[in-house]
Amino acid sequence: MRTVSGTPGKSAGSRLQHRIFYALIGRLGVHAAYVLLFFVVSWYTLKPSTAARCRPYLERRFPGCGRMRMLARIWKLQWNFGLCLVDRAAAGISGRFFFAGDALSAICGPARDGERREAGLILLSAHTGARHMAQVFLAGHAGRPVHVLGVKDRGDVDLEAHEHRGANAPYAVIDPAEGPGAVARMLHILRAKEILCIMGDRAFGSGATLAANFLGEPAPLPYLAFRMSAASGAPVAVVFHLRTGVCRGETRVADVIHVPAGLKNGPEAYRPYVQRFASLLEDFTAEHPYQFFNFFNLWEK
Amino acid sequence: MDIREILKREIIKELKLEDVSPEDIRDDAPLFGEGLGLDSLDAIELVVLVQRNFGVALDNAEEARQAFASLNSLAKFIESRLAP
Repeated sequence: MRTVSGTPGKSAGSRLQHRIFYALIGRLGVHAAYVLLFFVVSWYTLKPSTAARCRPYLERRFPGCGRMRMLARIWKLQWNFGLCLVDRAAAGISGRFFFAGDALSAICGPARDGERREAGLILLSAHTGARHMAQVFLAGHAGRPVHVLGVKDRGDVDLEAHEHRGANAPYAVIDPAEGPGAVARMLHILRAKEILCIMGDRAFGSGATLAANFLGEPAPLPYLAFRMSAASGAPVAVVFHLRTGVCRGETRVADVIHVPAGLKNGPEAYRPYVQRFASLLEDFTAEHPYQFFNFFNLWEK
Repeated sequence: MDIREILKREIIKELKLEDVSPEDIRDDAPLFGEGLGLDSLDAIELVVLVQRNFGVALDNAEEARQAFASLNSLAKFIESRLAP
């Protein structure tokens, strides 16, 4: 079965290389790690395998870009990705991270007096910016349980912030490999008016994608969130996470989509919603081209 | 009507299985993958139709995984929940 983790997700560096970064952050601070990161990113930028992972996105985001400029863009994308990973490690090691979560709190937080929450909430996001820290912030501020669909890729040796402290994740993780069982659990979560986080740029389940125009070409994107919304009555909040500075992050709410119950035309009925997500993600990449961490060919048939 | 017959009729209707009749669905064949060939997302409709038709909630991943193994196991799960 193709899962959320069915795409290349292996860490570029070895476990030892990651430990060197962690030691540097712990002893000398995050800026020392940035200095090392500069050299590491420069080295990786010259590796053909790194370029191959970055090109599918960058060539569509910057069509007609020359060879040297493309190299610079690859460096910049890797650099921003590295900064997010260093910041996440710093959050785990030293607790240093500030997340501006007003927008996130406004849609996910405790209901205000007089309000009644009618349903759960689906947070549909993508692999952008400080997404890991957004989940940590959300789990601490939502006032209701938070569940995240997806497990770490095998071969991903990066530690989550809580793993540095030997603690459990502050949110519950749903393994997509549970298949129909995971789907039943997700529906239960939404009926219990809890929060479910789903990535909109990775497929869940065999064949569970619809082609949407993204950066000029059709890309297969999952429609799980919208189908789940129709079945549960939970709205879909499309959110994108950003790194805004040294150990700082923020979430922007791009749209809140209500999918009516009883859509009758099978998967095709969900195409407009998937397209809406793709368009919002495209807007995000226009504004923040180096904070969309897409390292595989999303458009591959 | 037998729970299995209701399930077959509802699965065909809700999942829009064209060219499939209730007789084509074997009681012991897997619902997902080989067998009836449903995919993971079809489980959403299955959960909803079980709740709507029988008032039975499938809210535990492991229970759901076992119940969704075949039509027989799903019917047995519903019967166990309906038993006084």
